[in-house]
Amino acid sequence: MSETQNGEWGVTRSRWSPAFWLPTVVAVVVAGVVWEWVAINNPYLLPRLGQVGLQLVTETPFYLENAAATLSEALIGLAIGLVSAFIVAVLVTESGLLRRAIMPLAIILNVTPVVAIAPALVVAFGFGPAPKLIVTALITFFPILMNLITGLNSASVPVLQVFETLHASRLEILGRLRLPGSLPYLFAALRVVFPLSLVGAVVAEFSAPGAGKGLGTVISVASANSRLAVVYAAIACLAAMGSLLLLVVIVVERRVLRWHESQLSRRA
Amino acid sequence: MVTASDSDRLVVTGASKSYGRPGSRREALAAVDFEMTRGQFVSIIGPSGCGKSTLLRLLAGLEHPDTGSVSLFGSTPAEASAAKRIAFMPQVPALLPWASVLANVKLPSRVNRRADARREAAERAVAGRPDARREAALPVAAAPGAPAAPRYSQPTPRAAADPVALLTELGLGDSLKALPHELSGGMQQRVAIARAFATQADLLLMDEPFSALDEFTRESTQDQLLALWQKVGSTVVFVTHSVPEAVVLSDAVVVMSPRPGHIASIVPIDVPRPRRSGLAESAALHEYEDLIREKLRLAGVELS
Repeated sequence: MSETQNGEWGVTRSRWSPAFWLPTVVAVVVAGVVWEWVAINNPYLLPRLGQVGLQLVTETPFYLENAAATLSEALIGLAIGLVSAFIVAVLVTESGLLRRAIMPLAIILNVTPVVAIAPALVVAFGFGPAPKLIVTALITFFPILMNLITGLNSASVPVLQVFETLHASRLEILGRLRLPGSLPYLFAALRVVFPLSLVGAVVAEFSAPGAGKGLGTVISVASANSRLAVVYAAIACLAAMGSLLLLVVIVVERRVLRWHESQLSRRA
Repeated sequence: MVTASDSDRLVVTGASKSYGRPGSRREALAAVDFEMTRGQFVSIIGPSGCGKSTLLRLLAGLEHPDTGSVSLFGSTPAEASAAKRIAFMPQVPALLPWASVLANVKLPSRVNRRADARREAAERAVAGRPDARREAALPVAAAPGAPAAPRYSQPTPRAAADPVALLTELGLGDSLKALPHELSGGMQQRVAIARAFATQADLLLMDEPFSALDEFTRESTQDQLLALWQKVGSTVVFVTHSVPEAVVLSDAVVVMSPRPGHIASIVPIDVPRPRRSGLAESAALHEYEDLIREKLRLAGVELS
C-alpha cells in the first residue's frame, strides 16, 4: 500500500528530477574527459576509452569466456569460504573450548597476506583451479566468520530469558533465535565479500600466469606485451562483475531483511 | 514428598541471593519467605534495587537461590520449566522481529515439544479414567489416588490457548501476519501477553510489562490481562513500580524494601472484581493505595 505510493510519487519523482541524477552524470563526464586528456598526452599511461570499448566489442567472446572462468572460481571459492565460516562460527559460539582452540588460528590466518600465500599454493596444487578456489575461500572466510560470531551473540537477554523459561534446547535457541538474528550481520559481510571474491580469484590467477582461462591471466599476459587496451578492457569486465555481485547481495538483502531496522527507513 | 497442599501452593522459603565477587558482594535478596495459592494474582512492588526482579528470576528458574528453596506447586522451578509450566514476560515485549505476530505467539508450542508430548500423555491418562470429567475440572490435589501422578494435570482450557483466538481476544485479529515493528508499543506488549498465555502455563511471571506504555494504553492493557487471567485461571506474579497498578490488578500486594531486598509487608486487596466499575470500588481501591504508600514509607522508601 505505502509501497505503491512511494513507487508512484516519492521515489519515482526524485529519481527523475535533475537534482537526483545530475551530480552522478557530471562526475562521470568529468572523469571521462580527464581520462581522455591523460590518454592523448601519455599513450603509455592509459589507453583511449574508444580503444577499450573497441576491444570489448570486437573480442566479446574472448572476454566473456575469461570472465566466466574468473567468476566461477570466485563464486565457488566464496561458497567454500561461506560454508566453512558458518560452521566455524556456530562451533565457536556454542563451545568455549573450541573458541579458545580455533580463534587464534583463524586470526593468524587473517593477518597473513593471502597474496603472499598464492604462489606457494600454485607450487603445491599446480596450475588448475584448486589454488584459485583456496585463495578465494581464504580471503572471504574471515570477514564472514567475524560478522557471524557477532551476529550469533547478538540475541537480547530478555528474548533469551523467554526461551530459557520455555526450556528451549540449545539447538532450538540456535535455529529460532541466534541464526535468524545473525542474518543482518551476515549480509553486512556478504556486501564486502562478494566483490572481494573476485580479488581472490584474480590474485591467484596472477600467480599462475599463462595457465588456463581467467581475466587475471589476460591482464598479466597483456601487461607483459604492453597491450594497455586489453588490460583495461579486462579491468572493466572485473569492475562490472563486482558491481553486479554487489547488486545481487543488496537485492537479496532487501527481500530477506524486511524486518530489520536497516530496511525500515526505506519504507517510512 | 509432595503433600496435597504443596501442589496447590507456591512457596518461597528463606531464599537469599547475592551478586558480585567475594569481598564486594551485594545482597540482592535476604531470606525471603513468601507464599501464595494457585490461581491468585499477586503483585510485587518496591523501589529499584529491592530485589523484586531477582525474586521473579528465582521463581522463573533463571537463577538459583544461594540459600533457601522455591517450590512451584510441588515442583522445583527447573522441573516446572522443563514441563513448560512457566511463562515469563520481561519488561520489553521481547518478540522475534523477523516472525509474524502469529508466529511469535506460536513460539511456545514450537520449542520444547517433549513437554507437550508428556502433558498430552498425562491428559490422556486422566481422561481414560471413568470419573475423569469430574476430576479434570478439579486441581490435581483433589485426586489423591491418581496413578502416574501427573503433577501438572490441571488443564488450562485448550480454547483459551489457541493463538488466533488469543490474539483476536486481545484486539489483534487483524494483525496476525504483521511484523512486530509494524505495531505500536502497546500492541507489541499485547502480543507478548498472548504468547505468555499460549504457553498454557500454571505460572505467569511478569516483570514490569507495562512500564513503557502510556497511561491510556496501560489501563486498557491491564483490563485485557485481567479478563484473560479470570478466564484461564492461571497464577500470576506481577512486578511493578506503580501503586495504582498493583492495587487494581491484585489479590495481594507484596511490599518490598531495599538494602538488602526483603519483604516489608503483604497487603491483601479485598475489593470485589470487576474493579474500576463503580464509585464504591474506586474509593476502596484508593484506600488501599494510601495504605500501600504508607507501608512503603515505613519501609524507608522515599516517595516522590
